[in-house]
Amino acid sequence: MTVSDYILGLDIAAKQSRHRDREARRGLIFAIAFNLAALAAFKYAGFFLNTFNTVFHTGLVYHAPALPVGISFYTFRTLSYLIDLYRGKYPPQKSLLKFGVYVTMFPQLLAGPIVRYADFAEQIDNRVETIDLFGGGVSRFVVGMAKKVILADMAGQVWTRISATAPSELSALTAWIGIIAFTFQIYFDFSGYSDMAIGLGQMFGFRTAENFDYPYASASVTEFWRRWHISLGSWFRDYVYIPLGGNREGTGKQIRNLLIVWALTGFWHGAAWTFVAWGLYYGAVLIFEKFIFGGLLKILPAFFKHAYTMFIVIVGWVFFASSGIGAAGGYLKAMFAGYVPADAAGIYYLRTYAVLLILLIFASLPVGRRFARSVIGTSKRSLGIAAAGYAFLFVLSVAGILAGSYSPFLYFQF
Amino acid sequence: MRKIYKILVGSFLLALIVIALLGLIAKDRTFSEKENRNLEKFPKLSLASLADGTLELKLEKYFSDQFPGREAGVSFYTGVSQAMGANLSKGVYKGQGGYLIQKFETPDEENLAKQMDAVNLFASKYPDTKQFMLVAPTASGIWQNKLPQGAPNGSEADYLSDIKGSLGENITFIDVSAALSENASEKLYYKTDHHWTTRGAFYAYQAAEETLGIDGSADSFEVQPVTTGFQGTLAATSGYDTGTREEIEVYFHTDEALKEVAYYDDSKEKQPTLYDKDALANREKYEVFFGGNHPLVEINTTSNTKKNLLVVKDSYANCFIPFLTPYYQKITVVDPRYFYDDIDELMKTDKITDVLYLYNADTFSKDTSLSPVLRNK
Repeated sequence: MTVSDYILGLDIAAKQSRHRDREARRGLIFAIAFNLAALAAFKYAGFFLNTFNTVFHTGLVYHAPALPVGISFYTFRTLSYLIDLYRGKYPPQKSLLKFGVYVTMFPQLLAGPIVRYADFAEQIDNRVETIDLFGGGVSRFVVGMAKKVILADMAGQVWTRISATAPSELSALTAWIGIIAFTFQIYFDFSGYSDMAIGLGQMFGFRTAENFDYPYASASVTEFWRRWHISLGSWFRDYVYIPLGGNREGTGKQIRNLLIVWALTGFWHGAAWTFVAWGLYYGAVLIFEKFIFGGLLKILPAFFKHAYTMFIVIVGWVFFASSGIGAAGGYLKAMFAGYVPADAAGIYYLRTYAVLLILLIFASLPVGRRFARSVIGTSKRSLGIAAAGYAFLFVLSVAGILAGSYSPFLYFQF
Repeated sequence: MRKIYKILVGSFLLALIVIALLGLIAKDRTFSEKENRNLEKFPKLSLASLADGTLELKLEKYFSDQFPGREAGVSFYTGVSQAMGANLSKGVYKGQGGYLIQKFETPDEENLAKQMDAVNLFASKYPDTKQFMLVAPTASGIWQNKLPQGAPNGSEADYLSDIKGSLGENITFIDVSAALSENASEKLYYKTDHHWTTRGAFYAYQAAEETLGIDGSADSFEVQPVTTGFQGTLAATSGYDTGTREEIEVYFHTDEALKEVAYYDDSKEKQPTLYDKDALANREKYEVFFGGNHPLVEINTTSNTKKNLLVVKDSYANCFIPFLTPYYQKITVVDPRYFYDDIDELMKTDKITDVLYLYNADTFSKDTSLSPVLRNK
């Protein structure tokens, strides 16, 4: 796969250098089709077959192949290389080894960020490794690991407990605590992974663009998507939204383009209708924000902006976390019309996990970072505090793994 | 340049080296006292296990189990998560007053139907025997006030009444819940273990006497603590309260003329007692009763009642059966989890006149071995 993409890249570039544009274009289309077909075969075949079976009442059986790890990320990274190559942004990578390093770069292979070749190209040839960079990488890695093993997995335990209860027996309070716990689980899980990937990359001298920028501190859903999984959002913007015409061909086409992009974004996350629903939900909200609600949103007090954004985001995660559309509906019903607003179990969860929830909120906002910075400061004594802090996080994370209470990264399934 | 990074790099590399060295030098341990389980050994390498992925899982488990300082790490993590409010670990609540109580999961109705079918079929096969079923509530049913306030928990009372409701007419359900609830202020269950105490079993026995047709004439006991160093399995499972040690009491009949001989079918040994003193020196001190669970134990007593009892049971019966010895000539004890012989043959050879099912609600709700044994499959 990697070898064929490497050859395809060389081929496209060769044709372009001889100004045989149509052939280059054909080469690119073939390359895109080839990569998407591989992705479809591994990840989406079962989904299409099931849908086919449902629609035509057939009973075709699907034997799932083992899903290669990180295939979605791998495909997207390869596609960005080929497309930008076709656009003439850079010369092709002549070394198969270096190309292989780019597409399978191990820290980022499993769950992103989706590094662009342009950023990578200059680094592979001019890489610097310093103790400073390495140290920065270590600290980044430790923070990421703590986010994942401590925060995400503790939040995940709350969600696991609550989601194991039948939605009809959930009070609204319990349902909200559950999905809020999932909201934090997915953020710390994914951004923790990104931190670890960025940290590891940095240890080897690679700088990687940030993938998360405190998304839960956003004041609008539009802003949320500029801060959440940044490398995926910009990928879809550059390779789908803009080529489709973006916002240059009138409002009607722009709405169509947004819906396409968001349906695909959802579908990229998983081969299930819940993910498509999740994507379209965001498409609808963003269109609404862009054309109707945006002006009003700007003049609202900050508190309402943040409350509105988090409300949309939290409700969105219900689709993401549920096993099917029906289950999502049942859970939403519990949130908005639970069998009672609050019961003893709800109060139990609130009391038991109050400290954890406060910690999660604190850690997901810039105020947490500011606090950490102010503690570290610059004086000699605070150096010791910082070192002790990192050591504490590292030991606790390792202990958490040993205690067996950790779960695999959520984003590995994508 | 930020000095912190130098410190970090130094200590990070140092930590990796130290861990790796310790891992190499330290001898593999085979058993964890604290967690009460065998630790993973280095797996045998084979192509088959590599291909199906079991090798990877085993290696992962091996490295986790043999990691230097593993136990300290696990209690550190448990401590931190407890400090943040967590009170449920591996299905065990840390309740009020430090009581560890197993969460009761709402049972699977299909499984219950299967069990009850087998029990009723067996009863109809032996219409001349008297049959009884005693399913004891566990701490999560009797000590609800000791659970963390409002903690979600399945209802054992509902489950027990479901069992009672689906029993055929030739089996009598023995309800001991009321007797236990009345005495709930006493120590009916261990703090760190899922078993009831001998005292809990005693109250249940008293409540069951009349139904079983026992006159109680020999019920005079000398209560003796046999150890104060018992640490239950719930502590090991959950990681909570691993420091607590408890007392185990034994109720000895005061009438010294009462004698019994227990024959253990698995070891083919005969013992003049139902207790295993040696177990008190080991970690599993609860095995003082019968030396633990056995597939088949046959107890012959000095009683001349002409009653032969078959007890089909889990470990809740181990401290209960000693109360019964004065009232049956022979008590045959079958633990279906380990019993693979012919139960119909046993009914015949031991001339069984009475059958008692004795379980706790939690094991019974998860049990899958009773039905195959009764159906003799």
